[in-house]
Amino acid sequence: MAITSEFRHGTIRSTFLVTPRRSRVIAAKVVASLLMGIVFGLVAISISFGVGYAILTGRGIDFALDTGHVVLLVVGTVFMTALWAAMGVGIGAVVRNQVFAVIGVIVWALLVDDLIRALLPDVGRFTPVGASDSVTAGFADYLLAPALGALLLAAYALVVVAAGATLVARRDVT
Amino acid sequence: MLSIDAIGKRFGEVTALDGCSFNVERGRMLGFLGPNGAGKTTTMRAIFGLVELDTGAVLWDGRPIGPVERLRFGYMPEERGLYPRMRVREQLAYLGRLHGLNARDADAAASEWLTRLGLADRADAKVVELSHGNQQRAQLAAALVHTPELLVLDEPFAGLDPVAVRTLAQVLRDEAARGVAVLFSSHQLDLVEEICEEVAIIDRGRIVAEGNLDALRRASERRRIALRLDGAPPGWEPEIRGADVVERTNGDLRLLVDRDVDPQAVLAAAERTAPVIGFSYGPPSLAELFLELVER
Repeated sequence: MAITSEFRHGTIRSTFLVTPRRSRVIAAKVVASLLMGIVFGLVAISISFGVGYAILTGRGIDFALDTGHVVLLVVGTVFMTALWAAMGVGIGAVVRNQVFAVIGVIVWALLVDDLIRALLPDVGRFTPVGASDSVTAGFADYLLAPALGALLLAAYALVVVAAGATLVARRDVT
Repeated sequence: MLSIDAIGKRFGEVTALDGCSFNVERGRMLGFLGPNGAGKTTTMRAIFGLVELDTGAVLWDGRPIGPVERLRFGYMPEERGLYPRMRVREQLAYLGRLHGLNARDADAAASEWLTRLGLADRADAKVVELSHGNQQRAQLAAALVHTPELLVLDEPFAGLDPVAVRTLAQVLRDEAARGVAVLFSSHQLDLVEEICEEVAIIDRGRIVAEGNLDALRRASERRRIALRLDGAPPGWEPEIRGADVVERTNGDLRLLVDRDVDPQAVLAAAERTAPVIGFSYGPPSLAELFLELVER
């Protein structure tokens, strides 16, 4: 939405008029989205941890995660939400239509990616959602190592943002 | 001076602009006319670098237009583009600052234009809360807020009520009088004829006529005759070669005739049919000239 709303409301023309270097516009939106993603990730992990811990304590269940897992979960979640936010800018720049972009990401993440991981687990751990799981869920046989997953997720974000920036630079603005 | 110099642009198999050229001088107002899809909007977008031209160039005072020059231009696109949830005054001031005004000047200019365009009482409304006509006024204010040297307006009169049309026409006259080069497109040819001395007519990506409107009308191969007859038989028309009835209402006939047709011959033919109570002869109107040029 950081960029598709600009296409939707026609404000992209003003944006490109005052900042004709379009790659600079995309870079600014990526940085802003990364920051938003970090904030979103911190809020999400704080709420889910707080609620989860309260429920477990209330039921007298021990908190089983060790410090390493907790750190991975916090850092991994923030890293993942930040990169998905950046990917959103790239996807929006490619697709331009806000509805199609949002629906496309939801369908991919909740349906296509899930199917790939269910039917082809060896391939599935390399998908964007598979890579995201590896940086949050931790060490598991069916996932990549967290560091490798982080690198792969960063590569996905880089490719999508680069594709968006390239297309935005080449396309005419209507 | 804005110079559109032999610009060309293709979208796939479609040729949008095919060597289009014309000029707009400072202090002049040029009506940019053409049928739908003729290339008006593409030309305007090219001025602002929003479409990349295949050939030709757009020049300001003889030099290629860059980002610095564009900040001194004002643009009102056909498809409006304002931040819907932002308040009108705040948005205008923000756009003014993006175009190089300091905060105080931007606030002052925003307030001035809101007052001038009759939006002062809606200054603190969000854009999305404005009516279509008021959104259009806000968009016009956005094009004017930084005191541009060149004003490019794509269909600025579309959808405006008569009061707003009169206000906008006066604003454009005032801007031209201030020394601004004004280029605007419109399908309201009567209005263009009223407020513009110069026009450029584009058809299929090419300029088919450009220059002083009166001179273009006089140079036409056709002439306009208006006849009012008292009791002419229904369907009557003068049987003169090169004379065509283009409009008939009650006893009024409007004819377009070839320039070499003798108007006295038309008048004599009419008088043989019924008493003539009105007759005029002259160059075609802009609308008639437009149709003559784009229907060729």
